Amino acid sequence: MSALLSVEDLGVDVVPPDARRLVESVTFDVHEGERLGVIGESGSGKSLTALAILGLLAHPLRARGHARFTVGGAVVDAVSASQRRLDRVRGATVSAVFQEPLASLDPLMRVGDQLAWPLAHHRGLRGDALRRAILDALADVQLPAPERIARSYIHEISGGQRQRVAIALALAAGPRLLIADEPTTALDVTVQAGVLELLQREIADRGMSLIFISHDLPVVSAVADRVLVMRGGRQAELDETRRLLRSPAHEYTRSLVAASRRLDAFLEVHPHGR
Amino acid sequence: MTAPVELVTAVVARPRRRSRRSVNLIVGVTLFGLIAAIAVVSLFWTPYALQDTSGGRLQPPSGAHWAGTDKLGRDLFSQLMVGARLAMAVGFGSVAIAAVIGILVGLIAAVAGRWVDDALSSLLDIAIAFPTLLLAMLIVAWRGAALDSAILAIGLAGSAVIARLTRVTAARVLAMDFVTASRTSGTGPFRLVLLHVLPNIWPTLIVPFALQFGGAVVAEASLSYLGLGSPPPNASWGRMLQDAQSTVLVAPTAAILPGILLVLTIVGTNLLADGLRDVADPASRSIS
Amino acid sequence: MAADTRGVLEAADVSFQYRRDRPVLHGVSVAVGPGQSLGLVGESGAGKTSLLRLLLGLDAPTSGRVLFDGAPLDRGSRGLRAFRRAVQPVYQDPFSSLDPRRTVGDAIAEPLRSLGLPGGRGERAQRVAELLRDVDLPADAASRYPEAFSGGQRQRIAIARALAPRPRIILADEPVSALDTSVRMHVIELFLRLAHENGIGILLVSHDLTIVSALCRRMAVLEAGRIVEEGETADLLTAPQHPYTQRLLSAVPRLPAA
Repeated sequence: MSALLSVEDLGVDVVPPDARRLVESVTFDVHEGERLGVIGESGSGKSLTALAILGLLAHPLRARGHARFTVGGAVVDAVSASQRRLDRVRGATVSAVFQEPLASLDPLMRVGDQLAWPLAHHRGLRGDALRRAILDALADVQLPAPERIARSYIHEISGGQRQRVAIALALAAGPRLLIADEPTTALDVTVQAGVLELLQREIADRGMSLIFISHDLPVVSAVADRVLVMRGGRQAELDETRRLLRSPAHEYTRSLVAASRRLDAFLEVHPHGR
Repeated sequence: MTAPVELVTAVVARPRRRSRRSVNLIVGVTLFGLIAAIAVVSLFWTPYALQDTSGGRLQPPSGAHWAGTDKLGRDLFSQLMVGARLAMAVGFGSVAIAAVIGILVGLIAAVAGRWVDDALSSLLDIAIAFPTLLLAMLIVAWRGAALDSAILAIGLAGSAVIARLTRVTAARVLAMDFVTASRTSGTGPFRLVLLHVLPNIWPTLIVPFALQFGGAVVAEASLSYLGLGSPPPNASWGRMLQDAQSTVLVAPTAAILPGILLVLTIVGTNLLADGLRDVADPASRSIS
Repeated sequence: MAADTRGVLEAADVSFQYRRDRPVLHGVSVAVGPGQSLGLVGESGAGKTSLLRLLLGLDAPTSGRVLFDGAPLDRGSRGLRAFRRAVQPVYQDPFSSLDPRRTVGDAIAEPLRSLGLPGGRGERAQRVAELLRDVDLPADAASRYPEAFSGGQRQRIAIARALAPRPRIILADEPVSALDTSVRMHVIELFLRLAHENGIGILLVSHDLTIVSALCRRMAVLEAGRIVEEGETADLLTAPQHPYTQRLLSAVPRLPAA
């Protein structure tokens, strides 16, 4: 069976006159139910790759190569498809959660109204059925008092709650693949744990696939089965998480894992003090 | 002890330099430079003295009088040149006034407490809503028609916009960590403003300065056209337009040329402003 | 016998609120002296930033006192200068803590000029060169602008600036949160080395238990403006008493065992 998402030789360029290659030759597949982690530091190109796959690159950026979605026999290539085709793919097939919910949610619309659109559009719900679906969606992401949240504006709820709303919004149309770009980086550590747990549960319950992008190796290794390491716009390594952590092949991965281990080791306390 | 971890991200982050050539900037600088050059030259030389009425009335352009003559027989070309000088004086003068008053008021609003800031902001909103030309006419009526009245009036009117922009930009700069770091380095408030705030708000301000320059020239020309500019001999292009109005069918050049120069000046400063905005690369050195 | 308060920075039962807002800190007491290291752990809204501002003398507490060298902070200019020479901050965001319009050399030298430290331009330049060496940056960095440097390098510049007046205490606010993983170790090691070499006391504020455990011998946990637990870092990590501390500890993402 072909992969849900097949990325082949994907690149991101800045169009002339500045012509520069920001991302080059990224190749990987994501199958149904698979969870792929993408790890890279700032400037590695991981977010641009996500945007290219979603067909969301804005001028002067432009994608190259292929990012093919295969759903029910039909194939759509995010790099070459028109925005109209992509509009049908986005939401229903692939959806995204980004780092900063204040930037990805509409500050002028109540939460409930923002959720209403994808539910109405993709699931054809109206009236009472729609209202119930909105409250269900909010309860599903474990938001307390869904009625109150539905009536609120995003600045009236906390960061963790906003991110849960963003997740609910992303899942509303029932996509097969969720791309999460640093979804918990801006959150407090205790809130992060809760949101990560939520994300993993939703993915598992719905049999979805996940691409989880982060700079934080411990987080990625907890969430992903396989990890793609990016550096300087290129793919450094792609391997099963366990194997990557145990015996990284690429020199960059080795140093990244080593640095992460050293940081992690500080939390191992030696009884006889430091 | 384990071996030290290799520093793999030792690459120095190179600032992204988008192409800095801007057509707007080049054309704007050229036009502005042309008018400025004419103004400078006029300080030393004009084809004829302004009061020289030997040229014969309303002559068309000729070898002797490149732009022709006005209804009193004075050389138009010379008048145009001196008009350029006036335009420059008005532009720089009023922008200077707007800058000094505007930056001062804006800085006060940015550093002051809530009450002062709110009060100043309301005053600024009122001032901005007030039409420039009307304000200028009021001041001219009060102080009597003179060039410095016009410059003062236009400058005052423009200062409100500068003040509001300064307040917003300065507030943003003041919230940055490097300002707090400067405070904890022991730097006093005056030096802090001088060293850190002004250099960082300056790039945001030069765009409205450039725009206001053009606006000032038009405003002064309008005042002179309405007879509210300086008393004769008034070198303004606006006054030239007023003079030529009654004889436009007989001597069109006298009416067209001042207008063309006005247009060139305004277009030049507007393109200059656009060009400066183009060139302000977000990755470049200043915060704003 | 009076306790030795030389060089000790202390917040004694401080509370703080902004004008008519809710109180941000309630009766918080912490202290750090030269050669010591204290980590203040808390999440957003815990009041860490406010406490830091109080300890830096940027704001005054609504009750309680901030003491240095055993005496309340003298907010008159003479006293404040001496205080600023002795207590220096390192801020979180390497991209906004350096003025983009000033050279690195000017940034590092600013405390030397503003705090009236003796010496003319020549001595200052020498000191800047010395400081750049201490933080493993090349000497020519002094004439360049911050934009030419990476986040980790900028943070070192910020550290060099903090060290310029030879402080006895450094207050660091999330000094590595904005940095990439591979760079964090280097900055942490730099802190450890400098603190050890110069006997500088470190007060670190962070939500990240990892860095606190790396740098701080003692730790205090801040929740909603109150200290809920404090003690030796080792003790808190192995046997946290307060439920919030336990939650914090269990929430830290860990690598699977090697």
